[in-house]
Amino acid sequence: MKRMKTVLILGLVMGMLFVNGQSLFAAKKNIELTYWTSMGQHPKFNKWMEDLGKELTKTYPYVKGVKIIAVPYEGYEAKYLSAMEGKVGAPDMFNGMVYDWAGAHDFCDSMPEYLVKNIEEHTVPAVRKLGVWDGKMYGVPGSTATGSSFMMLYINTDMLEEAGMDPNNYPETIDELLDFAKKLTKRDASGKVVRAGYAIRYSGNPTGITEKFLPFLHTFGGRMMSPDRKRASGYINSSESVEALQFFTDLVNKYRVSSLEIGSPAASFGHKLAAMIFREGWVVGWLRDNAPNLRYKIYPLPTYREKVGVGALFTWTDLVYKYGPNKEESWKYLELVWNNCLGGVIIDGGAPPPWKEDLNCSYMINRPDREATTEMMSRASSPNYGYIGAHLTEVASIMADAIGDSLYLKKTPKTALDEAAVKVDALLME
Amino acid sequence: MKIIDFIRGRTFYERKERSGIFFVSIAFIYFVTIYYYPLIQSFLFSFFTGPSSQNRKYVGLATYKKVLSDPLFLLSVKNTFYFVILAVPTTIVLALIIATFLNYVLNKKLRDILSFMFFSPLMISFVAAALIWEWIYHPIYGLLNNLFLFIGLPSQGWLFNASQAMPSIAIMQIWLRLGFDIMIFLSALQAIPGEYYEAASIDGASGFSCFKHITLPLLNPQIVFVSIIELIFGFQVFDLVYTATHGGPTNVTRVIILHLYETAFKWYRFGEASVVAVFFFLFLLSISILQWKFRRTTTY
Repeated sequence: MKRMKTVLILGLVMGMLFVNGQSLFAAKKNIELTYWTSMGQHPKFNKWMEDLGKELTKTYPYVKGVKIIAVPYEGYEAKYLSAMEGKVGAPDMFNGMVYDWAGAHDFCDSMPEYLVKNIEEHTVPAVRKLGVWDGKMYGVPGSTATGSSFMMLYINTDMLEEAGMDPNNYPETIDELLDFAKKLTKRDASGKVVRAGYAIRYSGNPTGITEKFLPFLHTFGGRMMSPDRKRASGYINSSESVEALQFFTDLVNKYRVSSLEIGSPAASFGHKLAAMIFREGWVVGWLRDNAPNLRYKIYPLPTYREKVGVGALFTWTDLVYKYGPNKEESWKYLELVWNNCLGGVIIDGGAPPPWKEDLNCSYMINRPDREATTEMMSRASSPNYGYIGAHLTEVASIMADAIGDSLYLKKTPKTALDEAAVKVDALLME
Repeated sequence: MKIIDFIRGRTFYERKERSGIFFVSIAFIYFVTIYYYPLIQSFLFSFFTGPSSQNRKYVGLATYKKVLSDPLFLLSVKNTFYFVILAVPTTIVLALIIATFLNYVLNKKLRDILSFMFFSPLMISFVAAALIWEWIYHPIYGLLNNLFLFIGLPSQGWLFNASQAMPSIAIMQIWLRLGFDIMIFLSALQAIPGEYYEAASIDGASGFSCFKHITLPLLNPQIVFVSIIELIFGFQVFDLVYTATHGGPTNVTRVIILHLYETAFKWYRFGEASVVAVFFFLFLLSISILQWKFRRTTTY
């Protein structure tokens, strides 16, 4: 009996040693890091990211590569959240908004000091703080950061020529934008707009509707909330904000240079159903792949009262999953992506790079948005709302409801924004 | 090996009982893990607030009060009922009419081809169907408006028009669900003995009389079954709306499941989403019970 006990205890000890040994002594081998991206619109760039993963083997011989998984943008939050909350099948790295994944959920590993320093030294000011939450840096302003962090004006030059206008001319003010739009709009015999002079975003994801309205709101001097992000009343429904929404509504209903039946701005621009749109820099790559024969130019956003600079609703960065087993390797990989982009290898991504040194590389010189990007980055940054955590999406949805109600003439801009102010105030108080 | 020994048992009845338990247990485990566990979790979450398990707070019934007074939730309930009213009766009536006509087609091959044509939309995913219909409905280059213009009718806004958006979604749902209902009705129609109709026609009954007094009563179980299924599918509409309109324009196509989804995964309000889920579950359960009782009392 005694011998039996001894054998059992020995067996248990051996077993524990074996189990612990797996994690304590055994080296990692043949691992493949995973990077989830909701940017499925950049297949070439994602392929480049995957190829670059093989470089990681030089530093970590046991890493066989990085698998880039494009999670469809529609509903990506649910997929991210399910995996990260369950801690099963979660990615090592992912792109997302720091206020969501570090702020609301605490799923992000904070960035190692050496990378923080690098980012502060080399990135353009426009994107430097995109990965910061609560004073800590979590996200690398990676491949798409600059391309997604502000909008510019896209003009179809063929349509300018067709309308007898100078193809090198562009609207610098909102009044000129309206004037251009009036000349570029086409209507059918019944008066219905069949080509928008300027295409607005009115459908699809509510957050997208709000995001595309922000340049108007900001240039008219409006804001979604106070600078300390504690109050919406007096900001979202200020006279400037109401004026901005009134103008936006008038584009459709009074001036009839835009239409609620034309489709989304990027697609309608690609389909030649719109002469002008506001969109981010990544659309250059998208148009190159999807509308290669389109002739267009890109300019800085036109101004009404205030010049609109860098700033978007969403703050996309590359993040490392806090509970992942390969955090060190993941940060090294993101550093590798970062360093390689310094050489201008980002080309196929279609977005301007976030690195100061790259602004003069051949890739940028040849891009149609180079001057516009430089001008936009030289302007003072627009309000950044990305620091109110999980509520930002909800605030954007409330704003989108107000925009929709005004566009579809269900409510006046003033009533719609007054109602939005009450709702956002309640949210900000939570 | 032990499981097999257990199933074997010593007597015939023991073996029968134990193998029954074994087979039922597989389904039981499946339902408990896939359906009941999340259901119980949802119920529990409805008393908490917070974006994830890391920062959840107990709030009792406060979330129930909040959800029941939320205008957006109430609007989504109203929209869902509107959708069901538009889609469900139309699907059932159309399916019954088409199945009746298909039943008259005596050439089996032709009938099979026609049946397959109606059934085939059901084989594609709802998301793919919504994308196809988005193209059909596009006001500028869509098939439908070009067809309208060709025959001299004015083009329409369809999914972008606040008053047409929900009927447009309902048409998509009808197109997708029609085939299933036709199959059910057609197989039931083919099981009705021809002698009933012969006898009725000898007595001078008209075609409509035969349909009203023979076909409809004998199809009652199938009508009830199809109604339950269509009501459940109708109330659960999500993919079509999410893909085609995102609940717009101006929330006119915002349905309950879309509201639930956005509350949970866009706004990270799992407590409120769970309350919506609990209400929705209880609502569907009561419909099913009512219809089940109705079926028991009215079927022939």
